[in-house]
Amino acid sequence: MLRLIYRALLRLHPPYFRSRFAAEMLAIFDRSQGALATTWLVADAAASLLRQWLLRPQFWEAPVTQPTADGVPLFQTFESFKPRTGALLDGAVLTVALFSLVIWTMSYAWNHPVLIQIVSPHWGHRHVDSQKPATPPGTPKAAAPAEEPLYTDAGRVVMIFKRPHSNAVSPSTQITRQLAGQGSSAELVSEPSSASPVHLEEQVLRSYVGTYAVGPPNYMSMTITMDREQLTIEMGGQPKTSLVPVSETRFLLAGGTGDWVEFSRVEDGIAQQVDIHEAGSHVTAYRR
Amino acid sequence: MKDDVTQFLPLSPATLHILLSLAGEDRHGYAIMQEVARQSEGQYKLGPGTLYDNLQKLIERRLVQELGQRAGDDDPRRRYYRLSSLGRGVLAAEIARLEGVVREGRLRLQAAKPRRV
Repeated sequence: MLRLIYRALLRLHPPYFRSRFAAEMLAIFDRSQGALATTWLVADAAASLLRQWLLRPQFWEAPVTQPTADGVPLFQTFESFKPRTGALLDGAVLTVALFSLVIWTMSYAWNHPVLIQIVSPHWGHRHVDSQKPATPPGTPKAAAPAEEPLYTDAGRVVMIFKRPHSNAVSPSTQITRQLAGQGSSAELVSEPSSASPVHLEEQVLRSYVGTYAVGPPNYMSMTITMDREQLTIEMGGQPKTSLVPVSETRFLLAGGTGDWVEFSRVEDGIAQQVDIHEAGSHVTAYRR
Repeated sequence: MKDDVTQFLPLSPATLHILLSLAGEDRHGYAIMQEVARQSEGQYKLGPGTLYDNLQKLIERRLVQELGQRAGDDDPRRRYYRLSSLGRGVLAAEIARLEGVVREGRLRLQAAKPRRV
């Protein structure tokens, strides 16, 4: 049984090694006596198998010999270009380390992809028809948002990159957008000034309760709930945040971040749209 | 010649014992294993895998020559090996190096012995 295992291990060795030394190794095994000696030889063969495949790639195949014109074989004198196994291992470790370093630094870059807001382009002609603003499907035309569409110029789309703001309360900020092909035009969206909270009737607050959804590319939903005449907003998996009314339609998010929302397009006493201004960005969500 | 042999130094224990076993006469693999065990008084045992792995490298470096089978041998699977002239020079250089190590070691140990008053 051990001899069969020993022969199988010899057959698994590289072809060149096997052709040269397998017969001798088997002859040595046949001369050994005792279970301990034969078991030790089997273990030695297993170690030899690993050594030959992992550490001796230069001996896997026989060297190529080329005959000369008179038939006498010539031994090849070319130097082998195979790298050392240690060099390959060092290279693999260095590659993994460099790759990990690049990935780690990318997660701390200021222009991380999560912070980039790309406004959905509305394809059309340069001279926009102001009576037909781009609106999501199912939205009543009478309450369409007054948002100028982006235009392409020879297939190019303008992308807007904004640096993230800190969480501290900031003074009134300006967000400027420059439309391609229309020169410079600016649309200012400013935070509500430090307004005092106001008291709203329960009926008004209830008109804002519901679930709203942001269209592509964000695909985010948010829920407005009311608890003891206090509105709360929950969105994007974040914990509930209280909304402090500063006007009939505008609410500040509690926490002193300066973020705020504004409800609009009331139909049958129910708000259909909410604009969220958070960390200097602006998204519009529609009632689902 | 000196530059050729020093590049092989120092020798690993397995290589040193294999070259020593071939210094006296040509031997086959099993005989090399037995001679190594005898030289080391049983302290160093060479397995066939280690033996032929080292022989493979020594043949490739031209320190050992492979003679093949011998006519009239009782086991046709045996192959004999011979120490080449380069291998003999490498073995001599290694022995000289070890002699220097032994000499230096004895001097240091002698200097460290306390003197009798």
